[in-house]
Amino acid sequence: MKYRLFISALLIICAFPAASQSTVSGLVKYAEDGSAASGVNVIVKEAERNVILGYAVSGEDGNYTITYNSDADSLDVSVTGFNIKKLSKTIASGTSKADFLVEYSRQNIREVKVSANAIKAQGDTLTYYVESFKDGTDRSIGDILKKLPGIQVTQGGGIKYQGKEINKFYIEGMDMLGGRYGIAVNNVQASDIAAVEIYENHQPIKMLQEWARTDMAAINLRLKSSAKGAWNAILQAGGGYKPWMWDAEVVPMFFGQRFQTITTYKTNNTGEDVSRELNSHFDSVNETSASLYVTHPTAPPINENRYLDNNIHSISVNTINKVGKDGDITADVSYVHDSQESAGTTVSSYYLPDGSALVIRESIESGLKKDKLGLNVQYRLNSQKSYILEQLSFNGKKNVETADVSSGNGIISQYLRIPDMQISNKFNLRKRYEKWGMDIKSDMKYSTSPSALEVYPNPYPELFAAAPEFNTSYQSLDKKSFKIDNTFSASYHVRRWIVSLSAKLNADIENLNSSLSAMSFENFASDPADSMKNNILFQRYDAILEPRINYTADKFSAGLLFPLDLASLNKKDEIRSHGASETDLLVSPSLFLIWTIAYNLKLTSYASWTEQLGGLSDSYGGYIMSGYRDIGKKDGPTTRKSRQSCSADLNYRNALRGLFASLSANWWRTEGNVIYGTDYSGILSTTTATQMSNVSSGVGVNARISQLINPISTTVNLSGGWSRCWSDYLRQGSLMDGTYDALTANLTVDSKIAKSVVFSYDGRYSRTLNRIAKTALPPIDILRQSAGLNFIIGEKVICGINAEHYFNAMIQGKDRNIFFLDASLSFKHKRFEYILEGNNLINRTIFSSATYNENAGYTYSRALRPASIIFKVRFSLR
Amino acid sequence: MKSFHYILFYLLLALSQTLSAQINTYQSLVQRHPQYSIYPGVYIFEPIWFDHSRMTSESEIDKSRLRITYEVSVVENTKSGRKYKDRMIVLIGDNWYKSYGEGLWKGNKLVALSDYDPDNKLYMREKGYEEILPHAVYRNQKTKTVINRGIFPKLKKIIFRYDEIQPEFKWELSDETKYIEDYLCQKATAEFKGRKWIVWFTPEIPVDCGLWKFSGLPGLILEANDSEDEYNFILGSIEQKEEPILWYNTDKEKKMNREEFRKQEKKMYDDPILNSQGPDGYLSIISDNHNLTGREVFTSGHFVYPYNPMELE
Repeated sequence: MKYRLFISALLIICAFPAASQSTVSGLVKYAEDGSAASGVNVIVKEAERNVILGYAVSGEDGNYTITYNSDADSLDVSVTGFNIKKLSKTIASGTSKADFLVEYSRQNIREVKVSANAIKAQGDTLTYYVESFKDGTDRSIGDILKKLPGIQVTQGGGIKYQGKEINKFYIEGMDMLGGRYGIAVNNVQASDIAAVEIYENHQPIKMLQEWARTDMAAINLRLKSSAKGAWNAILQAGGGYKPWMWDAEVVPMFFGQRFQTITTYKTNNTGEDVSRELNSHFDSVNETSASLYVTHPTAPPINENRYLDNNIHSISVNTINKVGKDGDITADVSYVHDSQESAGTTVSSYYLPDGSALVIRESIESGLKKDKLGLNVQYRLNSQKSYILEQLSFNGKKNVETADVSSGNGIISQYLRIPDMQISNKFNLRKRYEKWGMDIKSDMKYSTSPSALEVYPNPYPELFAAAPEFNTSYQSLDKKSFKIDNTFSASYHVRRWIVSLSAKLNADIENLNSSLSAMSFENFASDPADSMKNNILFQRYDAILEPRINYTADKFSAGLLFPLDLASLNKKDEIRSHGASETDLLVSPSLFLIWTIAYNLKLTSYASWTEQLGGLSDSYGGYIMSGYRDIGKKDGPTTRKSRQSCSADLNYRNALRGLFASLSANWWRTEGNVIYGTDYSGILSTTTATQMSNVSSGVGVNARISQLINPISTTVNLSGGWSRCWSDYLRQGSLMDGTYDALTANLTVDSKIAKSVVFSYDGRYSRTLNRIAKTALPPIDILRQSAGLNFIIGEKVICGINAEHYFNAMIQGKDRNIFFLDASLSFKHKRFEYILEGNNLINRTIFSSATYNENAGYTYSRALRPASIIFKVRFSLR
Repeated sequence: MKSFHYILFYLLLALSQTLSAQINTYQSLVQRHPQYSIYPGVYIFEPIWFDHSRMTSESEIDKSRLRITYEVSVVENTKSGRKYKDRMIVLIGDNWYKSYGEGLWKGNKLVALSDYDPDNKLYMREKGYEEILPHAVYRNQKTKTVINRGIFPKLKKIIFRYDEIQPEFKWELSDETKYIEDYLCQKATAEFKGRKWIVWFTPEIPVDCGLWKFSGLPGLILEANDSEDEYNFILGSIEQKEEPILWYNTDKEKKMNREEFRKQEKKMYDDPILNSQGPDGYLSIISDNHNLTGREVFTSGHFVYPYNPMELE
C-alpha cells in the first residue's frame, strides 16, 4: 500500500511539475439533518498564504467543484457563509474530494465606521478628517496639524509622524514647496482643507514604488472641492503699541488641477520671525567650516515674539505647473530683509581639570542685519517608467552682525560681515525596464563666502608685534568650494530581491584664504606673520563602489549597503610651503530591516558603521580668530573617525481607536585619532589639535503615546526620553572625561471641552546632569508650562487667555518662577476678523535661565519686549 | 519708513473692503444654499428630494442583516474630468440585497445627503456631494434576479424600471492582498458592460459581493473602481444592523426592457428640461446670469447633463 502511494505520488509530481491545474469537489451538507447546504462559499487557499486560489458556491444539491492552479504541497479548503459556522480542512495537493458537514451559526461581523471616524486607515494611507478636529480658533492648517494624534509639529515648524520627519508635503498630490512646506502649514486656511492624509512608507519616486519602500511618511492636504481651482487670499494689517508696531501680510493662493501657486508678503516689528517658514526642512544645513561669529545673547526657550526686536520684510513666490501627464515644473523666489537687536547677559562656566571652573561673565548688546535671496527652478518627470529631475538653485545671503560685550574690563566691540553665495545644480535620471533599473545622478555646487571679523580692542595683542595704535584685530576669511558628485547605478530585480551596484566619482575642491592682522582706525599694520595666515588648497577625490542588496516581502523588508570608498586627499599649504597627500580605503556598511509584525505594529531597525576623513575644517596651520575670545589652529594629521550606530523603532497605530505609540532606542560610538584641546587664559581660549585616540558614545531611549479621545474631542500626547553621552575633553593639556544625561517628559492636551470652550495645555519637564572628571555638578531641573483657554461666543466672538510658567531650580530669587499672561479678543464678521491682542500683560522685562551642554554650564538672562497691545484686521477672500 | 507702513496699512484696508463688496452679491447666492449647487453657476432653492406625492406607500420586502456604506466618487463629465461625490448604501438581507444612492432615495428623510456634523447633531450635506447615483438595484438571492430602478438626477419625475437575470461576472483573482480597515482583502478584476472593474473583497464577510449588481465573489467588496477611474467606491462603514429593506410603491413607475431603459435614460441627460418640475412647471433656480430665467437655463441649449453611466454597453 505504502509502495503504491509512493508511486502515485511520484507520478503526480512528475506529471504536474509546477503550478498545475487541479480540481477539488465535494458535497456540503448540514450536520443537523443531513440536507444539502446550497449557496455556501467554498474557498481554496494555499496553506502558507492567505490568498484565495479558487472558489465556488455550492449548488442546490450541495455539490461544488473548484478548479485552481497551484504547486503547493498542501491546501486549505474552507466553507463560509453568512449563516453557517466557518469550517476548514487542510488537504494534500492532488486530493480531489473534500466533503463538509456544516452547522448553522450567525456570523459576527466586526463593525467599522469609516466616515464617522475622525481618522481612517486604508492600507498605507491614513486620513484625518479636518472637520472632526477643527474649532473656531483655528486659522491655518498648522493649527489643525498640532492636534492630530500621531503628528507632531516641532518648534522649528517641521512635521513629524510617529516621531520621524516626513519626506514629502503635497497639496492635492502636487509637491510645490519641497522642504519649505512651512509656507503651506502657516498660510493655507484650515477651512479650505477637507482631510489631511498620511502616506506611510512613502516612496516619492513612482517607478520605485513597488521596488523600494521607505520607512518615512508623507503628508497630503486634500482640499475641499470649494477650494479647488479658486483663488483665495489672506490680507492682514495691524498696528499696536509699545513700542509702535505694525504687522501686515498679503497671501494670495491658488490650487488648481494643473497649476498651484502661493505668494507671501509679510512684514512686522512685533518679534515674529516670519522668514522661518521659508526654511527647508529637508536639506540639512551645510556645515560651514571654521566660520566666524560674534557673541549674541542666548536665545531663551520661549516664543521668540517675547524677546525678538526685529524689523522684517519677507516675500516669497512659489509655483508649480504640471507638464504632460507625469511632469511638473516648480519655481520659487524668496527675499528676506531683517534687522534685529538684542540685549542680555551670559555667564559661562568651563570646567577645568583641577576641579575649578573658569567663569566668564558677558553683558551683550548685539545687532543683526540680514538680507537673503533664494531662487529655485526645477523640472521633474515622475512616471511609472522613468524619473528625471533637474534642479537649479541660487542662494545669496549677506549678514552684518555687531556686538558690544562687556566682561569686566571695558567693552569689546565686534563687527562681522558674512556674504555667502551658493549656486547648485542637481540632475537625476532613472529608467526602469522590465527587471532592470538604471540611475544616473550628478550634483554640483559652487559656494563662496568672503567674510571678515573686526574686534576692538585687540584681545590678543601678544600675537602681534605691532605699535599700540594698531589696536583692532582684523580677521579675514575667504572660503571657496566646488563639489561635484556623480553616480551611475544599475539594479536588477528578481522576485523579491533587488541587487544593485553603484559607481560614484566625487570631487571636492576647496580653498581657504585667511589672515589675522592688527589694524588701526585708518590702516593695517604691516603684513601679518605667517602663523596668522592660511592659504590652503584642499582637494579630495572619491571613487566609490557601492553594492546593495534589498529583500522585500509582504511584511518584511531588509537591505544591506556596502560602500567601498577609495579616498584621495591632497592638501597644499601655500604659506608654510607644505603639501601632503594620502589615499585611504573607507568602508561604511549599513543594514536596515522593516518588519510589519501585525497590521498595526511595525518595527524598523538600522545598524551602520561609518568611516570618515577630516576635511579642510580641521586642517589649517595658521591661527584663525573665530570669535573675540576664541582663536585656534588645527594642524595635526588628517583626522580619521569611525562611527558605529544602531537604532530600533517600534511603531503602533490604531486609527479606529485614534491611538498612536512609538518607542525608539539608539546607541552610537565614535572613535577619533585627533582631539581638539582648549587652553584658557583669562577669558581667552586657544584651540589646538593633538594626535590622541579619543572616544565618545551615547545611548538614548524615547517613547511617545498619542491618543484621541473622541467623545470629548480631545487629543493627548505624552512623551518622554532619556539619553546619556560619554565624551573625552582636552583642557589645559589634560584629558578629562565627562558624562551628560538628559531626561525629558512632555504632556500636551488639546481639547474642545464644549462646543464653545477650547482648552490647550503644554507642559515640558527636563532634567540635565553633568559629570566632568568625576565631579558631579548639581542637576538642572526645568519646567515649562503653558495653558490656553478660548471661549467661542455665538461663533463670532472668540475670547482667549493664555498663561505660561517657567521654573528653573538653578536660578535663585524671584526669577526662579517666571510667569507670562496674554489675552486676545477676536470678532468675525463675514470674511473679516478683527483681532485685539494683549501680550506680556504682566510686563515681565527679563527672562533668566540656566542650562548645561556637554562640556559647559550657562546662566543667562535676556531682555524681553514690554507689555503691548496690537489690533489686527484679517480678511480672507473665501 | 514709518509713514510707508501707515500707507501700506490703509491701502490694504481699503483694498479688502472693495474686494468684499464686489464678491458680496455672488457670495450671498452661494451662501444661502451652498449645498444645492447643481451646475456651475446654477443653484436651486431646495434640495431635490424624492417626490413624496408620487410615492404612494412603501413595503418591507426583507430585513437587513448588514448595512454597508460606500463613499462614491464619479467622473460625471468625462470631458472636464470633474468629480462628484455621493454615498451608496447597501442593505444585505437573507433574500434581498438593495444598493442605492443615499441622497436621492432618502425621500422620507428631511435632508438629502448626510455628513455627520458633531456640533449640530444634524445631518447636513457636505459641499461637493451630489445625487449622482440615480438608481437603486434590488437583488433577489433566491430567484437570482436583479431589479433596476432609475430616477433622473437633478430633475426627475418618473421611475423607470427594468428586470434582468443576475448578470454573470467573470472574475479573475489576483494574488495581491491589502488591508482595508482591518479586513484582509484580495484583488479581483472583471469586464462588465464596457468597463473593467477592479475590486477588493474580503472573504471574512462571506456575502456575495454586496455592492451594486456585482456578484460571484466569496466575500464582501470593500473597494471598487473601474480601470478608467471614473467610478470609485470606498468603504464608509459596516454595521450589523437590522433595518427594513423597503420597496417604494409608486404609480409613476414605468416598466420596460433594458434597451428602452437605456434609451430613456440617455434622453433625460441630454435634455433634462423635459423632466423639470417646480411651482411653474420648472425648477426654482437662481442663476449667476440674471438675464436667464429658470425656464431658459434648463433648455438643451444651456444645460446638457453629462451622461457617463456605470454600464457603458
